[in-house]
Amino acid sequence: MTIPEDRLLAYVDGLLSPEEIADIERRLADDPEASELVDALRRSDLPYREAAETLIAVPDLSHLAETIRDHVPARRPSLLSRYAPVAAAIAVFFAIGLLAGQYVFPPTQPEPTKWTVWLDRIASYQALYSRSTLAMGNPPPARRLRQMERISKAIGTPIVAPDLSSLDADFKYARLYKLDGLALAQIAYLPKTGEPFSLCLMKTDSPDESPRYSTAHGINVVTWRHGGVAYVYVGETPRDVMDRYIAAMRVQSGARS
Amino acid sequence: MSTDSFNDDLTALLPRLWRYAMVKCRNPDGAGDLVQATCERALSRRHQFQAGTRLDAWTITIMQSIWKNDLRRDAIRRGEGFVDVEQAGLIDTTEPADGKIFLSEVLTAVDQLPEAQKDAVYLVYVEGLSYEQAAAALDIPAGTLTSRLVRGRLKIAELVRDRSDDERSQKQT
Repeated sequence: MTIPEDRLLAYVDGLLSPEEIADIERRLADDPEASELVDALRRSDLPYREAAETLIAVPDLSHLAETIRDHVPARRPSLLSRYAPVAAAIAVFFAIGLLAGQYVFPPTQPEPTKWTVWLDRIASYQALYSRSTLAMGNPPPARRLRQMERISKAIGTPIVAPDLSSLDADFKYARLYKLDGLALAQIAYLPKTGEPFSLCLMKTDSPDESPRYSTAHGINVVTWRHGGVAYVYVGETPRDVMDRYIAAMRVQSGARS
Repeated sequence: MSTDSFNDDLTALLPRLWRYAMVKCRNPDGAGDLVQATCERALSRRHQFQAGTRLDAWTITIMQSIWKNDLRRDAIRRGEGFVDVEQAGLIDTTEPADGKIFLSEVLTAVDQLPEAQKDAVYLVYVEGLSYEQAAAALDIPAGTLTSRLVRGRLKIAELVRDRSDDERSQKQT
């Protein structure tokens, strides 16, 4: 396909100038793949706004309207403050342990950076998933393999998802997050009992390091490095159970025999 | 912008905020909390709003932030993240269904998208935000936004075609 998707979308959405439209239409004549995409996008040119306005009923909001008109309410406390320390712990680990010289995490002024924002999302995602959220069937081996191949390629070294089935924890998925071209993988597990947990991985130039444990508001964050990969375990897991998971992870990644 | 004008404009946005909150929360209680929290934060930060820019885009950005940081986890933990649009009470069933079937299918198709694509489609095609405004509201690059729009639109096209095929086969039998 010779025409970028975003140009085709803008074309279908009527956002291009007459000259740009003429250019796109001239190129579409010689690009069947792009023409097919345009056809599909046109099939989804639907009355979205009308659907929402017609079908989503709005209750009487006059009480809220009066509140807005009359005064400025006080702010309410965040419901997610519990997880902020976890995000901060991971962010500090990555920013200082991995990225010195490239991304500097101010030691005395922890202002949000791209990294902290990004890693906050990872930690927040972990916090989001309950047992019911991950209680779908286990992925077929082929999908698991595809996910891990993608992650290995992104991180630049072969990565195998630790098999924790003998410890009654099932692999659920592996996802890749990127920022400024750097990759972080998240492998999510669901144990037979207890809360879901994740193993996050990232490429590092720093030397190997044994596990470091920290706890923030009931969330365990364990970090270690081996073979050019930094690992972070995140989860609300009892210490004895978590140690078994981490030992298996480290054995399978070659960090210990 | 004067305080009165800001408050009036924010009040006028309430129905739109409510609909988007319902799409995200899937229940009136959650939507009410989200709308209220959004309005409270908008009022407390009104000094940050730049006159001449779109208040709807600014307010939706606030709602998105509150949802992502505060409320989404609770909603998902209550099992409200992945339910059928009609089961969730998203659709107003107090009116006769005649004439709304197609619109219901459109909304259902949107609702079946992954959350990231659904947000993108909703903000651009329901709320009328530009690609750039929607990307800012979702805190993602513009390229990511358009990619999600394309993926979402393709999925919707597939869903709509599947439904048409089903209807055709039912008529034939």
